[in-house]
Amino acid sequence: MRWPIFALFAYLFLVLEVSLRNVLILGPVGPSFVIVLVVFVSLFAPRMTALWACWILGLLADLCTPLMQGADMVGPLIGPHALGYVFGGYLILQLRAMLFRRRALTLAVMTAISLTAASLVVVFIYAVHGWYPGEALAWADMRPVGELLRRLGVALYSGLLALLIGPVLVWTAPAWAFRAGSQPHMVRR
Amino acid sequence: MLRSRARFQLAFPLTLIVTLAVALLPASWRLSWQGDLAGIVQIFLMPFSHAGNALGGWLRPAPSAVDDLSAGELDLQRILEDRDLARAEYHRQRQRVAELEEQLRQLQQIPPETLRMASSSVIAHIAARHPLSPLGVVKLKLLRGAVGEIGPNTIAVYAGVHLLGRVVGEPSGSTCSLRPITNPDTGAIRGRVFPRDDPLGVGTLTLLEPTGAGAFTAEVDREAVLHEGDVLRLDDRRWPATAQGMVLGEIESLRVNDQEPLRETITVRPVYQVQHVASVTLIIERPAGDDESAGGEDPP
Repeated sequence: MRWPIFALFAYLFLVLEVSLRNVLILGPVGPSFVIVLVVFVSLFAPRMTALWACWILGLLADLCTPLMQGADMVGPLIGPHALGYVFGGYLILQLRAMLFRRRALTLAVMTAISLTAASLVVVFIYAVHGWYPGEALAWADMRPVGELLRRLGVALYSGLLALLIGPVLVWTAPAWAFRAGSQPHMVRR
Repeated sequence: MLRSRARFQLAFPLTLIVTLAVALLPASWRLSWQGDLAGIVQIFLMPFSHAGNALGGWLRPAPSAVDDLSAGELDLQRILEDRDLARAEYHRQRQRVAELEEQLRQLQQIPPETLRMASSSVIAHIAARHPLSPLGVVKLKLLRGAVGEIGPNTIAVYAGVHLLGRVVGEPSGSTCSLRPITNPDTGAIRGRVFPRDDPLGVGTLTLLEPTGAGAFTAEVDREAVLHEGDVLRLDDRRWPATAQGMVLGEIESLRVNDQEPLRETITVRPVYQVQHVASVTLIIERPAGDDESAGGEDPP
């Protein structure tokens, strides 16, 4: 995989995440752009490369997610998305052999599944922080189960978004040179 | 090659373990440095996220408060706004009426004799005070038509008979400067003490020296038998005729002068100070020759 191309797309999707996402919010649910890229890379990139890419995207998502504690914004929390996206990406790596990767519908469904899996990790880590004395992470006044349900809505909405963005991403796949990254190893060996 | 690849593959689980450890750190251990990292990321995202936000604002404008209202609700909204405006206007006018009533009361309290000697009197609002010196010269805001009549030595009174000070210098624009009587630059003032139980008596003449702390001190014979609360009135020909007999203050304290046992030192404090009032009445003296009773002389 060409890492500069990855960096370019990561930047673009992060910008969309922090700006255009607000326009698409429906009630408490807004789509995630970054997860679509996570799924795309996980579907096409070599195994380890995909996992590293998921970790990097998760780390950046963590740094762009301000955390609320009561009414106060207490800054980011590194880890939840970094681990969650790796878990979501790992799930796709396990399933991708059985999938038609270039179909937009595949990308949409896998986005919903991957984000749901990532949300389990994210909510778990946030919930652990809720047990710490003096830390009460606010999830719009919801319990962890309620937050999980909300994130399920986000996952479905992101799946719909992937249906639109997916074909564009698949169209750019040659530029990413996914195979070129894995083939040299094979050739050298 | 195999070893380096194995090392590369080992790095990832280690990274995940470190990430998990960081994710579980309590807030107090992580907030500062994670906030710095987030700040760096935000700096890189900022230029294009602004463009994205602008695009977002164009695609989905912020809802207006009146967009979702029906015609009837809009009418009600307008009526409520009109009502609030009318209430605000009512309170503004009521304040204005109270202000005019106070000005009228001030003017009515001026003794008729003073008015006979004066050509006119005007209300002037205190526009500015010296921030560091409450006894310093204050700026008065004058009404448009009154500027021409006011000049140096025009006196300022409050509650009709309480002398606050006099104008110094020529008015500039719509303002003039008023020097309070307690200002040390005013100098000594000759006054007459009238006992409280004999306000119409002859009184005792004395020379009041400003202390610089908003009061006067004076030496008087003990024979006068003065008490706290006795009133001092101006009796100084260097002041305009309109100011004569005006109240300078009341005796605050009496103290026997140890060096001159037959005299005592009195401290006189004005009842009203310039720094405590919002407006004053300027009494404009009739030009010399217009009225024989105007006995004022220009100060040296």
